[in-house]
Formats: sequence, C-alpha cells, structure tokens
Amino acid sequence: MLNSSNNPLKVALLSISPHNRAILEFFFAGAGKSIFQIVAIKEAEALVVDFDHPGARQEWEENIRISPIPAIVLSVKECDVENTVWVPKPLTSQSLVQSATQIRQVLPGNTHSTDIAAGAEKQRTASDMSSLRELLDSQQKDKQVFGLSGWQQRERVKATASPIFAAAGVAYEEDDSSVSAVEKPDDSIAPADEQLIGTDDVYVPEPLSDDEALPGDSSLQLGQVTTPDDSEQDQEKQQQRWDLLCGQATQRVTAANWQESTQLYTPENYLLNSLIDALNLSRTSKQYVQVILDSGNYMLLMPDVNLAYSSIDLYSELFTDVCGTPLQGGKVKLHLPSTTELSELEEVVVQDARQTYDMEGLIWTTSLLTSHGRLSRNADLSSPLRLKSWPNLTRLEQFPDAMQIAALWHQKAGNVFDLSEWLDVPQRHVIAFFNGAHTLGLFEVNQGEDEQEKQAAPKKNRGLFSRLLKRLLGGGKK
Amino acid sequence: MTTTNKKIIFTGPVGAGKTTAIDAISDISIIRTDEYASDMTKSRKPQTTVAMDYGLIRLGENERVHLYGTPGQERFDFMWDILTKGGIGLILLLDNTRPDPYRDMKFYTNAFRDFIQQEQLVVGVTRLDLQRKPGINDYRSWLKELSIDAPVFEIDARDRGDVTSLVQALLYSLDPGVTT
Ligand SMILES: Nc1nc2c(ncn2[C@@H]2O[C@H](COP(=O)(O)OP(=O)(O)OP(=O)(O)O)[C@@H](O)[C@H]2O)c(=O)[nH]1
Ligand SMILES: [Mg+2]
Repeated sequence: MLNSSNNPLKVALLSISPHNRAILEFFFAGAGKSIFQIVAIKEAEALVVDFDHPGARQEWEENIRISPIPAIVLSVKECDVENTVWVPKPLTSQSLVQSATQIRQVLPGNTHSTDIAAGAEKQRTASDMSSLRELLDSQQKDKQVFGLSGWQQRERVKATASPIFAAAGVAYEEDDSSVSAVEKPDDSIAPADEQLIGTDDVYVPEPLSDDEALPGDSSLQLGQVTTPDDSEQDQEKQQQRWDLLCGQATQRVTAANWQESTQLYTPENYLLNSLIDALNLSRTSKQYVQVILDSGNYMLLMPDVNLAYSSIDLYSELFTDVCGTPLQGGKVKLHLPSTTELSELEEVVVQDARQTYDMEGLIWTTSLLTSHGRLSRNADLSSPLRLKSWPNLTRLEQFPDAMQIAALWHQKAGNVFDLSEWLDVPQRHVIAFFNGAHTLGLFEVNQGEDEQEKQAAPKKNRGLFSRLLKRLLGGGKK
Repeated sequence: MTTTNKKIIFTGPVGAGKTTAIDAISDISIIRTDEYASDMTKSRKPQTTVAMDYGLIRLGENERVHLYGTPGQERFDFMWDILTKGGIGLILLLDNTRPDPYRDMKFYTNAFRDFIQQEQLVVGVTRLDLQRKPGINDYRSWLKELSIDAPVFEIDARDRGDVTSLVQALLYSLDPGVTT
C-alpha cells in the first residue's frame, strides 16, 4: 500500500447522489488530482462516504467490517466516529485536502499519527451553513425547488414504487439525515466568508480533446446572431439612426465653454417634458396615464407591466419630428383614462402590439431624439455624478460606446466632459448616454468613494477581453 | 507554449436559462448533463442540469474562455469555491416567473459573496416576456438593498445578442478601457 504524501491518496466513493458524485469527480480530476485518486474499493486506502445519502452509512459499516480502512465522512451533522475524518458541508476544496492529510496520518506505516478527531475539530471552524440556512428554512416551508436533499430522496421513494406522493414528503422529513439537521447550527461555526478560499491559481479542466471540440460551421444558426447585418445599406441606416439619437457634433465642448455652445436645448419645451411628468404621475399613482397630442396621437404608460404604447411608431420620421419640435403651451395633455376608456385602449394595444415598448425604452428614445446630442441649457454640470444603476441596455435603443460609458460612470463619478476625456470616445455618445440615463433618474450626486482598486488591477487582461468582445460582437463562430 | 485560460461562471435557480445561455455563445456544443427532473421540478421543466454545464470560446491558438454553468438544483453542500477558482466573473440569471426572485437573488449573491467582492457580478433577468412583474427597476432596488453594485439587464437566454450583452457588461465592468 502506498503511503507517501507524494502520491495521491487512493479513495473509493461509496453511494452518493449523482450530483455530488459529479462535483467530487470534477474536483478529483482537476484541482485535487495530485491529492486524490478514485479507485475500486479493493485498492482503496480510504473510503469517501456521504452520511446524508440514504443507505450510505449502512454501506460503509458493511465495508469496514470486511476491510477496516479509514473513511472521509461528508455530512451536515458532526460525525465523531472512530477511524473517520469528518468533512462538514458545504464542502470546500481546502477541507477535502486537509482530510487527505489527516487520513495519511493514520494509515499503516505513518510514524507520527495524530488524533483524527482533533483535526476534525479544527476543520469545523472552516465551515458554516448560516448563509444558506435562511433559505433552506424557507424552502422547507414553501417547498421551493432548490433541490436540497429532497431531490434524491424522492427519487428513491419513486424507485420503490410508493404510490402516494405525500408519503415521500413524510419520508423525507422523518429521515434524520436530512436537512432538518441544519436548523440547529453550532455556535462555534465561523462566518460564511471563510468557506470560500480566495486563491489565484487558475484551475481549468480540459474535458475536450482538440478533435472533439469544434462541431464545424454546419451548426451555424443564423437566427441566433443579432449583431447588425454587415450589408452596406444596413450600416448606413444604422449610422443615420445614431446621428438622430446622438447628433453629429465632432467638436468637444468643455466645462469652461459649454454654455456658449450652440449645441444646447431646453427640455421643458418638448414632448419629453410631458412624458417625464406622465412617468412620475403613473409611478406614484400606479395608474395608467395617457399623454395626448393635439394631433390626436398619444402614448399610454402602463406602470404595472412597465410597458408603454405609442400610436406613432418610434422609428418613424413623424416621431422624430414630434420629439424635435418645440411645443406651444397646451398642446399636450395628460389624461387618466376611465375604466371604459381603458378597456378600449387595451384592445388597441393588443391589436397593435408592435408599437408597445418597454416603458423605459420609450422614454430613453424620446430623450435621445429630443436632445439629439445637445446638452440641456439648465443642466448642472459642475458636480460630479455617478451612475447609480445601469440602464437596461438590452431593451433600450443602442448607440456606440454605451456599455463602456455605463461601466466607467458606474465606477467613477464625473461630468460629461470628464467621461469623454477618460474614455476617449466621441463626446456626442457620452452626452447622449447622459441625457437618456439622466431622464430615467439613474444618476446620483457622488457620495461614496470610487472603486479605485478595481480600476487599477485589471489592465492585464485587456488584450484578451478585447479579443473576446470582438469575437462575440462580430458574430464569431456561431 | 502556454495557454491562457479564463473562466466565466453562470449561476441561478432551476430553469433560469443557464444551459441555454452558455449554449448561445459557446464555440463547442456544450457538454451538458441534463437529466429528467425529479417530481420536485417537473412542474416547471422536464430537464434539469445535475452537474456542471461546460462551454468554451477559443480565441486563437492559445486563449480560451471557459464557460461553466452551475446546476440549478442548488444543494447546500455544493462546492462553490471549486467552481469559482480562476473565474473572472459571475453571471447570475434570475427567472422572473419564479415565486420569489428577490430571495433567489439574495441566495446566490450570498453564496458567491466573496467571489463577487473580488471579481464582478452581472445579473440577467429572464422570462420577462412571460411575466412583466417585477420589473428591472425592482431588481435594481433589491441590489441596492443588498449593497451590491452590478449591471442588471432583461435578457432572453435564447437570444445570443442578449447573452453577449451580459458578457460585454462583465468585461467592461472589469476594465472600462477595453476596446473593440
Ligand atoms: N420564454 C422564455 N423562455 C426562456 C427564456 N430564457 C430561457 N428560456 C427557456 O427556459 C428553458 C430552461 O432553460 P435552461 O437553459 O434549461 O435553464 P437552466 O438554468 O440551465 O436550468 P437547470 O439546468 O434546471 O438549472 C429553456 O427551454 C429555454 O429555452 C426567456 O427569457 N423567455
Ligand atoms: Mg441547465
């Protein structure tokens, strides 16, 4: 029997759920490769047994009667049994590695054997269930589907052909190895933070050989590619739309000269202003609000489902005109529809679903078409702002650099001039982003410190990140 | 020649769309270990992932981005640290039609707390097409309540563009200076 710490410890897995088996095998084949080797029971130096798995304990007892080798016991409840090392759940790689060391110390031929139990005591501090306890408790109450031990136990009951499903629940609750053990936590347990070990070593299993990897381009599913079409016509159209949303200014304004710029507008003069009022009204009153133009066209805000209907297509020239034309007083009114009106409106919305938009999406587009790359005359641009929440960019009209601007503004407070400088992207994109996100109320005056460390550290991966983005955005292999 | 390996982890409750999302951007047909669900989850979906999902994006000869999906039937003895080792970011998918998405968010952000602090989290909310409530704004306030700073997007895991946006947000959050 090999008992050198240079060789992996030969272990045999007793019965265990397929899920836990997969996880252990994943570990033993990768990060734990030099420490554990899975072998047949006959060759094993130690057993690995999950005491929470139904029948596993009996199986272990039978095995050690034939051949009394030590065991690593995985369980929620503390296990103080001779010739075993208890590894408490949730398992960590560290506790598994430690258990191997402890097992080695009791194997025949080891000169400095120590008390396994003492070692196990130490390990207990490395584990904690508190982070999960709350959820487990609530799941037990309302039977949510996170699995827990009910999963394999119900499988077992099914296998023995229990005709009544309710009986499975009883069996599960009465089984003393089930999660109910978690309910009375040990006070000596350390905070959950200690469970996760921060290490820098990158462990990456290589489940694939090169030949089995790429299935070939026959698997291309064009329907999945949503990146813009490459055709020139489409690119041109796309550019035109961006010009509408962001303007075409190429010169940068600065904190010193922006107020003299010709690129300013007064939001209060446009439909946008009424829409913002309507948004606030609908959010506070939780009612549907209709914004009616004197042409008879209207928008309907539906706060309960976060949707908005517009009788004018958002992508039409008419809508661009309506947004960009200053309104005389009284040309727009806000209306709270009556019940009868609402049922009529609902019918329209259902029939004309194509013109139903994400509510924030409608406001965002309106804000961009109105500002058209200009700054608000009344904007207070002196104090640095921070983006408190990201806009829902997957459901808002896109323009270049928006993701990047959001990421930086979320981490670092600044004004539009700072951002355009820091990122070196066209200033009109920063201004457009600012206008849209500001209208949605996503900015706050800076309070906390910036996340400096995060910004300093990551440059090392920049090349790879850039290649990954190009691949994903370019459509790549799929 | 050395190979650079990076890892992105997808997590979230049963049926949130992890397998589908990885499949949408992986170069290889993903290795999945879906099994027919037990009674407990059958009402929601016929297949569930019992071990890890694995996908891969190859960048040239020597760079690989590995995509891992955790099993949806989260068990208390799951080895979180093993899965996250070497990861650059976590993509949490939440299913808007589940009974209590806030609790799901709390559970997963807590389970991955250390990792989120060291690396980066991005949240994708799926199935808003089936149920519009709660809305993205609710998810934003929940994150604030949990003192977590992370982008939240509505996504459909079947849409490659949506999944790409999550990865984009992740990479830009890690380094806003990345260029394309
Ligand atoms: N309608 C709708 N269906 C979706 C959406 N996202 C994913 N799905 C579908 O949801 C189902 C479940 O997705 P999976 O990828 O298997 O979910 P999973 O997170 O891997 O689930 P587990 O492995 O059980 O944890 C699939 O049929 C997807 O096509 C969405 O946004 N809307
Ligand atoms: Mg899955």
